Amino acid sequence: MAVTVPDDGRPIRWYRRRWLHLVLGLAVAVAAITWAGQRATDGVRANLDARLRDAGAGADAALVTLEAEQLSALRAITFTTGVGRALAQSDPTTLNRLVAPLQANSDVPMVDVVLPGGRVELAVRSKGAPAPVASRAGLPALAQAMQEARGNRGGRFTEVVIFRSGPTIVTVGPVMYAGNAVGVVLVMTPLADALGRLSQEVGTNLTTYTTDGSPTATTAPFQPKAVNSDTARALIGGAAISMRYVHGDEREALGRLVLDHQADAVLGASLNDNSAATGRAVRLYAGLGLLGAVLIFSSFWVRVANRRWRL
Amino acid sequence: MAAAVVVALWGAAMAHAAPPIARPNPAFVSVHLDYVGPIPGASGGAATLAPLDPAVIAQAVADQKYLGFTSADDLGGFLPVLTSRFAPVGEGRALVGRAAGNSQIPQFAQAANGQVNSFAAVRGTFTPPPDGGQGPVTSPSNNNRVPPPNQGFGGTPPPKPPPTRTTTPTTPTRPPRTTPTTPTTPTTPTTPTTPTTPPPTTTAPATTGPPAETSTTTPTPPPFVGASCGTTGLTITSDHSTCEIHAVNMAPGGSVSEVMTVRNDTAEPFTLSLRADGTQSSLWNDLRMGVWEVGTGAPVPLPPLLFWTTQANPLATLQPGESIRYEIELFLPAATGNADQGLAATIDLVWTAQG
Repeated sequence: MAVTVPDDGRPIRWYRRRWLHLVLGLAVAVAAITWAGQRATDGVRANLDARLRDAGAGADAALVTLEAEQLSALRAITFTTGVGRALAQSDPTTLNRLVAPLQANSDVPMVDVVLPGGRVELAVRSKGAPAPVASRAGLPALAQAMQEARGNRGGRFTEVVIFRSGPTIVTVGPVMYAGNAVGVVLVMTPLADALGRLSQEVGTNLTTYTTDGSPTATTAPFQPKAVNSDTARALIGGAAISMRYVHGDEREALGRLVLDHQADAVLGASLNDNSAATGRAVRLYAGLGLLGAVLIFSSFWVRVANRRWRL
Repeated sequence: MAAAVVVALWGAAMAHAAPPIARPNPAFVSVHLDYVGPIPGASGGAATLAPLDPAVIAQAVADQKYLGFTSADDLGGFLPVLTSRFAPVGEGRALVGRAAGNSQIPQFAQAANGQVNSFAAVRGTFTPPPDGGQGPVTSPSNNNRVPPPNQGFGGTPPPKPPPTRTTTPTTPTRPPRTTPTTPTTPTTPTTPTTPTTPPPTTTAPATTGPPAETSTTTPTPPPFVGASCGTTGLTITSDHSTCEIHAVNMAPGGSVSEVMTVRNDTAEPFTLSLRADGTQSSLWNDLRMGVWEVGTGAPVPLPPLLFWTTQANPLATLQPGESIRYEIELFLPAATGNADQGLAATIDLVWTAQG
C-alpha cells in the first residue's frame, strides 16, 4: 500500500511522508480528545465551585436570620417585666415562671440566666439539648455584656464560644434592674445544630474550622481534613476564598463564618466532585467520534484508490 | 517493628489530643411547627406571658438595623454583598386589604422615632371594611399533621403497605445504669422511581396519607397492640406488630412511619439517645428520617438520615417511670432520581440510655 518512491524516481520530501502524516493526525486526535475532556471537567467543576460559593454565602446570610431569632428571644427575656427583680432577689421560681415560656416559644434550645459572678441562676433547655452547667465564670462575654449595657447595642452581641459541650453560637445581653446590670442572659444554639439547619437550606455539607485550621463542627458524615493554619489565618484576615479537596472527591469552598459583622471562624461548604467522570465520558465519546470519522474517510480513500488502480 | 510501634503510639496520642468534632443532633436541625399546642408554662399548663418593657421597641429597631449588611464581606467572602437590606426580608401575597392609600384604622401611637407605629380602632373613628365586617370568618385550617407527600412532580403518594408480621428481633441485654439497647428496626425501602408508573389517582384519599396523620392527633396513648422490643430497665413498644418498619416499592415522595413508646423502668433518670446504623448505600444519601414526640409539631424538613448515623443523638431525659412516645418517619424526597431505583436499605435504630 505504501508507495515510497514516486514514478519519476525522485526521493520523497520529509514533510510528504505518510507516516509523518499519520503521527501528526494521531497527535492531533489525542490532543483534541484530551482538550475536550479537560474542558468538560473544568466546566463541571466551575459550576460546582459556583454552587459552593453560593452555598457559603447562603449559609452566612442564614446565620443572620439565626442571630435575629436569638436576639429576639434575648430581648423578650431581658425586657420582660419582673425578670430583673427576680434575678436581683435570686428568686428562681419567679424567674422560671417568666423565662421558661419565652424559651419554649422561641425555639432556641438553650437559655442560661447568669449572675455577674458567673453562677447559673436558671437554665432552661429543650429536650435533648446539652445539660446545664453550674457556672459560666471565666466567660469574657459576661463582663463585656455588663460593661456595654449602656452602649449603643445595650450590651447585646453574638459570638461563637467553644464550651466543653461543643462550639456554640451564644447571644449575650444584660438584665437591668433599677438602672443596674444585675445579671446576664445567654441564648445559645449548638453550632453543629445550626450548621445542620443551614446545611439543609443551602444543600451542601458545612464545616467550621478554628483559626488554626482544626475542624470544630461539621454536617459531613466523613472526617474533614484540617485546613493549613496559614490558610486559615489568611481567610479569617480577609483573604479570598479558596478551594480544596477535603476528603476524597469532596470539594470544599473555604470562606468565613460571619457573626456580628466579624469573622468568627473558617466556614467550608463541600459537595462531591464528579467532574472527572464527566471528563472521562466526554473523552470516550470524542474518541469514538474521531474513530468513526477516520473510518468514514478511510472508506472514501479506499474507494478512490481502487478506482485509480483500476484505471 | 519499633518504628511501627512508635508511629502507632504517636498516632494514638495525636488522636487523643484532637478535640472531637461536633456533629448536629438531627432532633434540633429542623424547625418544629406547632399550630395547636399552647406555649407551655413553667407549671405545665398554658403560659401567661408577662408584659414587656416598652423600651424593647427601640432596642428591637436598633438590633434590626444592626443586622443589616454593612460591609462587602458580610457573606464571608463567598460572594460580595451588594445591598444593605435587612437580610431576613421576604415577600408575601396580598390577599386582603388594599395596596395603597391611607390606613383604615387611625394611628394610635408611635415609638422609636416613628419607625414603629400602632393603629387602633378607636370608637367613632373606625372605618369598617367594605363588607361591613359581616363576612364569614374562615376557621383556622392549620394543624400539626404531617402534610401529604407532594402530588405534583413526585407523583401521588403510594398506598400504605400492610405491616409485615415477623418475629420480634432479639434485644441484647445491657447493664442497668447504662442501658443501650438495639431493637433493630430493619427498614427496606426499595425505590422503583420509574416515572412511567404513577399511582392512578391524582387526589390522595385519607387512607393513603402518611400514617402520622392519625397518630399525631391522638392526645392519649392508644391501647397497646404492637410489639415490645426493649430490654431490662428500658421498655420499648411499637404500634406495629413488630418493632420494624417496612417500606416496599417506595416511590419518591413516599413515607412510612412508626410510633414507639419508650419507658424508663429503672430507679434512676437517664438520657435517651438514638443512632441509626447499618451498611450504607447511595440510598442512604437521599432518605430522610424524622423523630419527634407525638403531639408536637413534626420537624420541617425531615433531617437527612445520614445525620443520625454519626453519633448517639440525645432526645430526652426520662425520669424513673416516665415514658415518652416518638413518631419515627422515613421519607424519600420527591426529587429523588432513578439512580436509587431498585436499591434497598436496612437501618438499625440503636437506642441508648445513659444514666
